Amino acid sequence: MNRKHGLAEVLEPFDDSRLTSISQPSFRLLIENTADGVLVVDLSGAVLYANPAACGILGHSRDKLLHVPLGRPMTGGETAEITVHRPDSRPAEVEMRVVEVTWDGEPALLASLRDISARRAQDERQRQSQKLEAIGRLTAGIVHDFNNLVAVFESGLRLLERQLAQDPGDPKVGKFIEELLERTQNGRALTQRLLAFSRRQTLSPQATDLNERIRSLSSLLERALGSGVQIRLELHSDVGEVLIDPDQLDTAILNLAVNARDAMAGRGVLTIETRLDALGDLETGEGLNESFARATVADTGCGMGKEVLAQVFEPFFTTKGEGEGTGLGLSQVYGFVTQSGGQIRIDSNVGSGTAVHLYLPRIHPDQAGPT
Amino acid sequence: MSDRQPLSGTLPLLRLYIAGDSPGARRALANRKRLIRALDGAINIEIIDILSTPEAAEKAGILATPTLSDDATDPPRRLIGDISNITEVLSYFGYRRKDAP
Ligand SMILES: Nc1ncnc2c1ncn2[C@@H]1O[C@H](COP(=O)(O)OP(=O)(O)OP(=O)(O)O)[C@@H](O)[C@H]1O
Ligand SMILES: [Mg+2]
Repeated sequence: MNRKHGLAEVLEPFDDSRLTSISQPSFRLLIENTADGVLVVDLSGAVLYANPAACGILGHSRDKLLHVPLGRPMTGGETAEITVHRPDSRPAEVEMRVVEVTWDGEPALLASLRDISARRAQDERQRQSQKLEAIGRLTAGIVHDFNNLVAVFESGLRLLERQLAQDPGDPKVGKFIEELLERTQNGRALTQRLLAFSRRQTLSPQATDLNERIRSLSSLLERALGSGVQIRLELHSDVGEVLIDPDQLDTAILNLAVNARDAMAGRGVLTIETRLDALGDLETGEGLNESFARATVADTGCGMGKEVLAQVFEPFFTTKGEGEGTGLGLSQVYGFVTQSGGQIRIDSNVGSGTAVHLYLPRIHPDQAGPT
Repeated sequence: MSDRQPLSGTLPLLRLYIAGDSPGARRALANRKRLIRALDGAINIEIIDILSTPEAAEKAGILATPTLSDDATDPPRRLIGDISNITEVLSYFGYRRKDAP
């Protein structure tokens, strides 16, 4: 057989004189302890051997694996990508390489498996945040120009107002001017929300007792959500204080709660949980395992599919009807949390609810300023 | 290798287990079409999306997708991973291409 990964290529290292001195048990130890999953499968697709990493990746004991008809592994080129479906956990994206080997004197296939889910998720998040960064810059530019425009209108109207005071004409004109001035305020409020997304709003971070702040919101939430929604608070006292702008936190929680209400069509359970949590991933390498105060707002609503999830933070992205949603809710939450040095993650699946996790920067007891 | 004959009236059946709309699933679906074309339509390859019917996958003992399976044999004969090499895939299941290979 004329394959790129033929028998020869695999057996070659064993001919190396330096390797012959390594005992069989040592090789076994290596394979048993390597992080990559290693499977040996016979040509009919039955598993002959699985190392512990392979058992972990596939989510089954070695005994089980030796008895399931896994199938003959095949790759088109160097590698193939498979999705592993484990009992009671998320599907994993796994990169598979296959080489031909001899096992107990018979031809067999050796498949090595590497779980690349974390890397994938990380790449995806990076793409997302770059996209949002770009939209944020664009938004900030528009906001700047728009604000200037509003300022011109506003000063013009004020001028008119003063002139009118000296020379009162038709009283209706005064009313018009008042109304127009109000409109400019609406314009400013809109730009404020866009600024929040582009992470350029002025924040006033303060040491804030996270649990206390959430507790004091609960009566407002009850009114906002209606009697069909049950609110559960699971606040862990160890989260302590966070360094954030408390008013923006209120707005964020409210935005999340309103989304939850809409997703549950007014009926269901809204849970707000706080907890100490580490962001267990690579992100920038920096702050790895740094512990955050996590505030999670979870609902039992309709959930979202991947396509929606990929866009929820974009300003003006909404799946709601005209007049029902502006698509700025999650943009505010995103902008506020990231500008505060925190991070946001969403777990959601169609039909199985949504959990939005806000990872907020803690104030460690030893770095708390004078109070 | 002997060619398998379709059972009287019914086409032989393979099952392609995939998961949702991932790039891997899309590639598998494209290859499924190529397989059917290579046999001149004389095969049925049923698509089973294990995200929408997890019980079916559970019952069949599917650990990973894409998996192409002949569930009629015992134990089922299966391929897992990339099925773009049509000739090899067909010969594994005991079929021969009907289009000029
Ligand atoms: N808890 C949730 N469950 C299901 N879908 C959600 C949830 N939260 C947000 N979404 C989806 O994300 C979209 C964007 O949410 P976002 O809060 O940014 O805007 P909106 O709720 O549509 O409008 P606005 O908040 O400005 O009134 C929503 O239209 C909805 O499709
Ligand atoms: Mg909203």
